[in-house]
Amino acid sequence: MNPRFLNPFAALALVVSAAVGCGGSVDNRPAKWSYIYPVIIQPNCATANCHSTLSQRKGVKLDTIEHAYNAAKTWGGFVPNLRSTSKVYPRMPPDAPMPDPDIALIESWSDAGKPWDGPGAEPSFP
Amino acid sequence: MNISKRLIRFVGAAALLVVSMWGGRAAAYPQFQFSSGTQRCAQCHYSPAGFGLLTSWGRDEAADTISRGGDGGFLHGAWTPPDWLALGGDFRFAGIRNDSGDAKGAELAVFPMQAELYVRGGFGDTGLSVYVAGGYRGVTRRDEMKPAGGYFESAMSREHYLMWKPSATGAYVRAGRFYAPYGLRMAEHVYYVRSRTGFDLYQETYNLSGGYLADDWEVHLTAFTPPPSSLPTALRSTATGSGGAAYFEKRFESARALGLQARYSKNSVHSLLQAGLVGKLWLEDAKLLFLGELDFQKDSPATGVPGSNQVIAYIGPTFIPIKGLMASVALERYQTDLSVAATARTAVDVQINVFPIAHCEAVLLGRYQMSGTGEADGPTDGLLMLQLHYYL
Repeated sequence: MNPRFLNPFAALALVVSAAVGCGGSVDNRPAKWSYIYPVIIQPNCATANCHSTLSQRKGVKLDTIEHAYNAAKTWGGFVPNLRSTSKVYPRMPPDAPMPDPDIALIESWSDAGKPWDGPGAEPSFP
Repeated sequence: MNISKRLIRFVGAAALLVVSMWGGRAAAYPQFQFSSGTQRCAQCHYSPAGFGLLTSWGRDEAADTISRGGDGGFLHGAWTPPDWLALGGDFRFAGIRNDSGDAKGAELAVFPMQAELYVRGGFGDTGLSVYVAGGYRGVTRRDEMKPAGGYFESAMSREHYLMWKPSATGAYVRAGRFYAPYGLRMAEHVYYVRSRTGFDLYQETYNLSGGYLADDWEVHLTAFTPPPSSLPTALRSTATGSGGAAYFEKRFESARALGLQARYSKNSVHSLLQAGLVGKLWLEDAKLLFLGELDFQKDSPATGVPGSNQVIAYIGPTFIPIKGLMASVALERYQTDLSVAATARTAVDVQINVFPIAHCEAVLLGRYQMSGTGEADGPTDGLLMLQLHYYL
């Protein structure tokens, strides 16, 4: 064992450990689709068994920022599903709880009229 | 005390414990990676960093060291393929009870999880080999909107590659579809260190990869890109970015390993820069294996709006009291954005693996996920899964 090699790791491990779970109570994140899609929607919803290009469950595709934007604009369950306590809209995602601030950010964007700010022109689907 | 403060103390204490143990002289006893003197994943798997088809050594280990008996050979030893050919397969059947707080109540599902066959052919003494995995893609939940809505949605080839690896140690080059070597490479894809770092189910990419395997260290470098969406479903993936990944692992005294890793991926929507470390520590006398992984991610939207800094963590001990039994407890953390405390998810896992005889495994997994700061401010999810696994 080489202590000179391990000591930096030990220091790094402690620094990294201390950072886990940090953060404040005020949410200043941008309520913008270009943030919401890659950070929240894609990793939570476009998974293999759900709304990826592979499964497209219930016919809903969230595999690209354009497809997800279209779903958000046209599918009535997109936002209600996230907080659902009714049998009409089953809670989504079904196997990984979405934190309240992430849901609130999507709701803020939705309340603002679901503006498009993604890369390129606003997509249109027939 | 909220979950964040408790987690900081827990992880900090665990890190201190690991670090303090690192400085001492631990008696060497192998876990799966180290069993019977096995140092490298590639001793038991044809893949240089583990996963997939077992080598003949791996089959022997599966029977003699991991299971409580039996013949680990292909078809239980009834027929042995020639040296240039290796065959195998994995079949998993699972039942779950999942409670996400949905108004319909807890979900019960029984489903075929995996049905996959592997073939590997070597080309004489050239060091060249070709590897193909193929099977049916199983799903947890049937989609009643699909006319053929069964549990098997389509054929799938998760891995297929050409490799040059002339010897057990030394340099190798591999090209094709597989997971880039990175992280703990857990079998269960639900763990955050897999599902949130780019290695979720069917997230394999097409890669050009190379590396070097030594007795006590290894390094893997990979350039990757996702399959084009124009490919048939059987070859598609949920991966979305192109980039590169690097993993370096140093092993100490056949009982400890330290991994350093980095990954960068980019597409038209965002870029993701990741860096992390992996630790493995086997304590022979206690028959305890500690596994840990910590990853930082910087997610930067292409439009220039402020991105998010994320953390993904896994830490926990595995107890291997006797041959054929393994019990693990783990604490996981995934935070969408480090600037907002309540964007955290915390998971507590209890997993028991039983290997009664070679080729057979039962996995019982209990997982409870909490979101938010732990003060009843976010939804939760409770999962109980029983999985039966048979490999050819």
